[in-house]
Amino acid sequence: MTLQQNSVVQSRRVAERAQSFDDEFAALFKVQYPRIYRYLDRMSGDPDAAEDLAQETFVRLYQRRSMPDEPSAWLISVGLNLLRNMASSTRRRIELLESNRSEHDSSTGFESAEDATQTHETQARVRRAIDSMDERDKSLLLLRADGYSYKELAAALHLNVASIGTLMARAQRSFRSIYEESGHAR
Amino acid sequence: MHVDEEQLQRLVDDELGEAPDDWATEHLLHCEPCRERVERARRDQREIFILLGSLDHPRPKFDSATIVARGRRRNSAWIPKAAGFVVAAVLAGAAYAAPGSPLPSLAAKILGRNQDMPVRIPVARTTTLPAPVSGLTVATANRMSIVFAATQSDGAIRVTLGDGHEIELRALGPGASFSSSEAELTVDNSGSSADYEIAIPKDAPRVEIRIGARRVFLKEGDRILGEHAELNGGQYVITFAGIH
Repeated sequence: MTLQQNSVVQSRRVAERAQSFDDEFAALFKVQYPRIYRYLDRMSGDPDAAEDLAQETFVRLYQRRSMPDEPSAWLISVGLNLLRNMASSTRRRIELLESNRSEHDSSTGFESAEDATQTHETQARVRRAIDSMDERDKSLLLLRADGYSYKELAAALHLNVASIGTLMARAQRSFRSIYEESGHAR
Repeated sequence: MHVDEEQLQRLVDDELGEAPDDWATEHLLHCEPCRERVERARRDQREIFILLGSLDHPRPKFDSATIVARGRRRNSAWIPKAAGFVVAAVLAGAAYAAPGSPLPSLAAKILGRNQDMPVRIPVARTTTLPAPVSGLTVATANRMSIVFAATQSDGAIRVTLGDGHEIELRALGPGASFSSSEAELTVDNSGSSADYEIAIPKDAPRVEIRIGARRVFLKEGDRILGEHAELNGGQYVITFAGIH
C-alpha cells in the first residue's frame, strides 16, 4: 500500500469512528436525556436550570468524543457535579417555585379549589422532604424511582453495590419521616 | 432467621444477586411474616415514587443535533480567536521592529520617554484565552501526569482522593486551557491566577502533578508524596506561591 493510499484509509477510519460516535451519541441522547433532565429537575426544583444542566452534561459528553464505560452513570455524575456548582441554584429555585405557584393557580381550572390546595400542599411537602434529605439519599431515591439499576446507582454515586439495598431502605425511611412530620406540623 | 434489610429491599426492587440471595428467595416461600414485610415495603415504595412524580415539570423538547452543534462550536471556538491573536501579534511585532518604522518613536512619545533612552523591548507574552471548558475528565492510565505549564503568582491546587474511576480537573477561574493525551493531562495556565480542583481515584496506580519541571505531588498506590502539598480538611493543598 502506498503512503497516499495508507493516508486515505486512515482518514476514512477516523471519519468512520467519528460517525460511529455521533450515531452512538444520538441513540444515547434519545434514551438518557429525559432521564437526566427529570433527575436534575426533581433534585433542583428548577426546570430551567435542569434543562441548562442536562444540555451542558450532554455537550460535555459530546466534547469527550468517546463513550465512557458506563454512560448512564457518567451522565449522572457529571450532571450532579454541574448542579453542585450552580451557585445561584437556591435563589433561582425559590423564584421559580413562586412563579410555578402562580402558573399552577391559573392552570387548575378543572380542579375544585379544595383539590388544588391539596395538590399544592402535597407538592410543597414532597419538595420540602427532598430538600431536607442529604444529597446521597435523595439521589438514590430519585434515580431508583426512575428505574436505574443498583449497579448504575453504585457507579454514579460511588457507592458499594452490595449495600445499595440498605441505603435505599434508609433513604425511603428518611423521606417518609420528613414528609409525614411536615404533614403533622401544619 | 429472617431476611435482612438489604435482602428485603433487593426483593422489593427485584435486584437479588446470586448465591447469597438464593436463600432469601427460598426463605420467602416458607415465611409468611417476611412475605408480608416485602409486600408492605413494596406498597410503601410505590407510594413514595408516586409522590416524587408530583415534582415533575413538563420536559422541554430538545434534540441531539442542537447539542452536537453546540459541542462542535465550543470545540472550535478558540481556533479563530487564537489564530487572530497570533496573526495580530506577529504583524504588530514586525511593524514595530521594521527598520525606519515610526512606531518606536510614536510609542516613546506616547509614553513620554526620550527617544535616546534605551527602549525596553516588549517581551512576547502569550495572552491566555478564556478556556473553552472549565475542566475535563480523563480515564486513569497506569501512570498519569498532570502538568501545569507555568507557576502562578496566586492560586492553589486542591487534590482530593475519591472513589471515582476518572481523574477530574476543574479550573475555578479564567485563563487556563487543557489538553490531554493517554498518559498526560496538560494545563496551560500561563498568566492565570485560577484555583484548581483535582479529584484522583483512590485506586489510581500512579498519578503525579508537576508545575513546570518540578514534581509537587505524587500518588503511588497508597503512598502520597509531596513536600509542597499540605493536608487540609481531607484535601492536599499546593499553593503556587510556595513553588519557585
